[in-house]
Amino acid sequence: MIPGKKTQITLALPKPESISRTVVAGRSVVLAVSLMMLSACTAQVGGIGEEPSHFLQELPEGVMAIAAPYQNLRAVILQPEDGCYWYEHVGPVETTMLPLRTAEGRPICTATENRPATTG
Amino acid sequence: MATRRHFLKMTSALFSAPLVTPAFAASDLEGQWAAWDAQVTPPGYVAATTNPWGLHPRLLPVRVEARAGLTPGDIHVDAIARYLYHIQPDGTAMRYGVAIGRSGLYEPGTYTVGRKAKWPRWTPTPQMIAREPETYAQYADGMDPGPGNALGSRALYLFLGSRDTYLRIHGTPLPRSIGSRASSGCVRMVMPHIIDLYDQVEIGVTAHLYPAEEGNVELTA
Repeated sequence: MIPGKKTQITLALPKPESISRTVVAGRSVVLAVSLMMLSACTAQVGGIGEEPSHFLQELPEGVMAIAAPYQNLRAVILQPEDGCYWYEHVGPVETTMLPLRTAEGRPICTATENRPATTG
Repeated sequence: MATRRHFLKMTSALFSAPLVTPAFAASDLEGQWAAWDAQVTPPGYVAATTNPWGLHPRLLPVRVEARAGLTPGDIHVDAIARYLYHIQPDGTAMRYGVAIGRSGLYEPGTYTVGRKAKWPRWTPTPQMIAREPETYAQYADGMDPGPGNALGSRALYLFLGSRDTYLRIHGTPLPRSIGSRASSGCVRMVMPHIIDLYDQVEIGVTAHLYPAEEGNVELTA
């Protein structure tokens, strides 16, 4: 994909038709999702019998489909400050949250929030 | 006829002249470095908040809690996160956003900081020229130091034993590349950030470069 160039892709997703999901290939990938969508079209990421956590118990399938595989999809949050998905990264010096990215390296965000600069 | 006094005067002149010239040159050089430092440092610069480069806030310098058992003074580059950590004696670490090498060029490993330099001269390696002659051939004879130089304001030279690996941790004239995989293998930092780091890093410390994600992911946030 070419940075800055907008491409609209419709993901193959189940109904309802009131839910349209688009991917904009610019500086970030934007998922236009409704709250209904979040509950209607999700994938279980939490383990059985695990303690409740602040991580999303279920991740939207669209997010699962486009997230690069090296990231920990069992520990994802939707950060309200920027409207983007972040995951827990266990690094050599600290455990920290990083923006969830597509295989091309673009952050995955919802359409409704204001996002900060994504340069870098 | 040369007297003993004449001989002493002559020899002292011979030896003192070379001593005076480098001292003047060094002072001149330091003045130039200071001028360049000021040129690349935004007015009112505060490391944690100054951001004319439009970086994601997570890439700005910050002090974080470090895992126990890490050696103070060492450097750790978490390539997935695009963070460089400098371990402090009190169990914390200073964290900076970095850019790392493109896929196939970044070389994870354990290195020693064998040398460091302010406003270094830069010469691309023969491999870089062969790989991208349109970009690098023009600098085959080296690029003069300065704010436009590819190594920027400071460079830490990574060695394996006594061998220079040609990998560097350095400043960059392309600060908007921070957070990405953009370099020819080196670790890039915003110039004022590496100016801060440089004075804290001692020759001989270990630099751990950890593996990056698979694939050539050029963009991040």
